[in-house]
Amino acid sequence: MTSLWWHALFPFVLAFAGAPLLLGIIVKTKAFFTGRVGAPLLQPYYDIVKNLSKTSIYSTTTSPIFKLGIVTVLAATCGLLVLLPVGKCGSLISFEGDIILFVMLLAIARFALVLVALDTGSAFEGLGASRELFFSALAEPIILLSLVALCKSGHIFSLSAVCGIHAPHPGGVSLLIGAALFVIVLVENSRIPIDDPTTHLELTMIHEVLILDCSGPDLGLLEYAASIKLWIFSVIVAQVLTPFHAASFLGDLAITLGGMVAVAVTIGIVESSMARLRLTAIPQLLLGAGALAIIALLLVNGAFA
Amino acid sequence: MTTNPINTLIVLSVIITLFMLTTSRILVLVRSAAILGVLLGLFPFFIHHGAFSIHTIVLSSLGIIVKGVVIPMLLFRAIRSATNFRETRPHVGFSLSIVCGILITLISFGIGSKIPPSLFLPSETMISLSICITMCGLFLIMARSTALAQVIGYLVLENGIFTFGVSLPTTQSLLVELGILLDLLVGVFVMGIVIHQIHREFDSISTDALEALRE
Repeated sequence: MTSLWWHALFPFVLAFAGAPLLLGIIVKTKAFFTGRVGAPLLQPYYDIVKNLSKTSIYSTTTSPIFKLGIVTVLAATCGLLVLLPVGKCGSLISFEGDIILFVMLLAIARFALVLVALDTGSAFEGLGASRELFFSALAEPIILLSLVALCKSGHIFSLSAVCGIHAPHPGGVSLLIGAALFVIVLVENSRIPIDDPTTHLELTMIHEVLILDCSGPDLGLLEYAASIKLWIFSVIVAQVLTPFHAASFLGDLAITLGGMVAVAVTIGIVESSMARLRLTAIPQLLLGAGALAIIALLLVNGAFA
Repeated sequence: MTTNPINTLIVLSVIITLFMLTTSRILVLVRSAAILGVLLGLFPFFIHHGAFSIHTIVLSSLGIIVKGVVIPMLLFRAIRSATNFRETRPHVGFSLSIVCGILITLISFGIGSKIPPSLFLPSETMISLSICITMCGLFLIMARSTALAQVIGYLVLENGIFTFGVSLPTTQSLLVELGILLDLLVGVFVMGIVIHQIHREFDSISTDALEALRE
């Protein structure tokens, strides 16, 4: 069952090519529920290409940190992709304790994005940055707790425990962690109960307000980085919730991809059926997810045995 | 690990108990208490390894009927007369409540794992669960300001004691458990009347209003 190194290249390349497609699936699902045809599945690609072909306009208050930050966001996000294991394909780089690096790269990407926002000197972006950091500060321990619970259950202290290839996770652990991580998907990718990606009111934005002053290729790169982040989190949730494996690595990849489409459709359904939560209610939701992760950790530790 | 139905029940009970600490809606609180009652009522069926004695069947069905149907109905009637459906000013906020709930869970499972296994005591997990539910019930009574939420806290507390009783290996516990159930029923009955009276006198079911009373 040893995976060849070029097996790991498959999902890596696929992520670069397919990441914006997930956004397209979410938009299509939402269109279906509102009875519209909706934008084409490939619309996110068109948007990114359109943005890349424009020229960037910079505010006079920005410093080189602005440009540096945008590149850092994309680089850190690609770094996450290198660590991400996909079923039997494995990950490009995997080592003992890489979950810490994973969480750290997430934090670096977030830090760079917040610097980009603050560098423009806009009050709205300061507001958005403070919200983004507040919710991420609550989300980060939950990500770590969930990953630790998965590592403990997989008997391996590495991100590859996520796909449960060495030791499949018990059903209860998978469900609890899957639910907790699904909330994290919504938080980290600024989806509806937490943030509305289609809002036009700066006061209610979180992710959109951070990139308000970016234009042209900068905006395109940030949107692309955001779609890769969504891809990464849906890979993790899909793998936690589908602990079974096919015989070949391609079949395994197909199962994970199917799971990811299901995750994207679920996000679309959640977005169609819910309104944004009040800002004060979001910490409650996150703490609830944290409670699920802690119960899963207790379960893994044999507290219920 | 989770193929055992008891473990599934325990995990679900803990999740519902924690959920009760986060909700501000009294109606949701009553429904959750009903679900918790039914879940705990199912325990005796599984705990005695499928050996259905008359004791088990009587105890479980009585527990489920009283806690899942009768008490929620009484509470719904009490709510119907009260206009305030939400806990608006709790003594401890909802976010802090769930943090406390998580701490309570961790502490109770910590205590449970310290207890040496003994013939006369139920399994350590059941002890942990009963400590957890009892303490969460106590916390609800302390942290909420409306009389209804406090009654539900009392209900949850009783559920914890019931869990402890249910897991005892002795069969003499039937009388004790029936006694608890009866006490609870009468308690909720009385509280329903009291809540109605409080509401009629003060236009609110917040117990804080009572603290201002002086002779």
